[in-house]
Amino acid sequence: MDVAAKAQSVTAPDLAALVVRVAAGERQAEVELVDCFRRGVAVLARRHCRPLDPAADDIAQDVLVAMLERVRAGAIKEPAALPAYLRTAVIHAAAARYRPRREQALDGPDRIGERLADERADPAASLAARQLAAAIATLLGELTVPRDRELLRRFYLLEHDRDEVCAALGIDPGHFHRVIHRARQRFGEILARHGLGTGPG
Amino acid sequence: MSRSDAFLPMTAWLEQAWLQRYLDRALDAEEQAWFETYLLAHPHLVEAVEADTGLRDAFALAGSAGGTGEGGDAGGGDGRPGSPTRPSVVRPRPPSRRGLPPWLGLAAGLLLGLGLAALWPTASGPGPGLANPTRIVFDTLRGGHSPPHIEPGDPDSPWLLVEVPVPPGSRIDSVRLEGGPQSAVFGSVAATPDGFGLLLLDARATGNLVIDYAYPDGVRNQTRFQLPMRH
Repeated sequence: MDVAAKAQSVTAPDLAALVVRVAAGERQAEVELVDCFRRGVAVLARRHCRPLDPAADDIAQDVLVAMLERVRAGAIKEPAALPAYLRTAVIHAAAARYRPRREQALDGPDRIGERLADERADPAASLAARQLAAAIATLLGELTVPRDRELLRRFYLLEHDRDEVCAALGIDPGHFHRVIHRARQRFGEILARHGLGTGPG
Repeated sequence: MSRSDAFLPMTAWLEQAWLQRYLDRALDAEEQAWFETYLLAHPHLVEAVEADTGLRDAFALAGSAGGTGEGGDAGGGDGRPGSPTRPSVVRPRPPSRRGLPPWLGLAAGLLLGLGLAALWPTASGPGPGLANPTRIVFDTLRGGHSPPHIEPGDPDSPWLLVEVPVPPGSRIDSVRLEGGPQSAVFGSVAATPDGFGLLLLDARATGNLVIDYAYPDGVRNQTRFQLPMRH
């Protein structure tokens, strides 16, 4: 049974069988187990980290490796609990990432050096990222309905919650989904108009 | 809710309702925890969450470029996940290690979410290679007709990112793809302040890109770039 090959949901019996195979030392089962959760763990790590924080990738990797080690060691007695375990591990890792730590304050210069090294690693790619940022900023500026831009800005950039956004912009909370859907749609149309898509082929 | 609940499938409409409320951040903490657990057991839902997260990342990236009208109320940034953050302290992922910024994936994901699937180069929708297409840069430093710089990306990506140079400050009125098996016409395209037009094309595109642009003083001009046969 190849659980990882399934595009659809994992079932509890499938997962239980995988866990048994991993605990028995079957390498292919390890690959299948990780593949079951790779994308989900990655996106949860991104959502629980600050936007664009590269640490999200590391958190996802660490969480999957830790899961694999526990399964190998036979420490997972209830395979059905794996999704909940993974989700909790991501939350804890992301929280730890942003928890004020004395050592973070002390090693500031090293961290700055690391950042500079990253940014200097590929000046051309860095330039491309800046160009892309400028381009999308320009596109956002083209939203003709000011409320759309403000709505998207508050919701996605400032991460205000729905009630805050509604209160600030005078939107009935019951209509929030419809309003933000329309704002996303208008932004999508701008992206399409500016070539972020192919024409008739 | 028991842990095994996460594996029980919901009906499609109910699943979509949960997903919609999750993306609108309308779930309380307990509901969010349950749905995120459910998400891990039902990977077909991940794509929509990736697209929405890409939108958030795009705003952060644009905010770092100062183009979103960022005001003084940029959030407190108290360090808690999910709390308001200060875009000025976030660092775009180093492209050299991570590929191109993830908002490229967002753009397409967003369009797909809007039901504009026909804009996709393939009918299959977004794939994992979306965030890392091959990139072709026509660089003015190389001369108008010298071979472009090609940065290979994910070979399975349905996209091709093409950067074409125009004089800084000019406006790209239209872009046409012609001379190949596929033709396409774009409307006006925003040029970056550095003078590049960014085009996301079908990865199979070949032929010539014909760029009509106007200088800041209104004088119009046209330039052509030949896409390499193999990229």
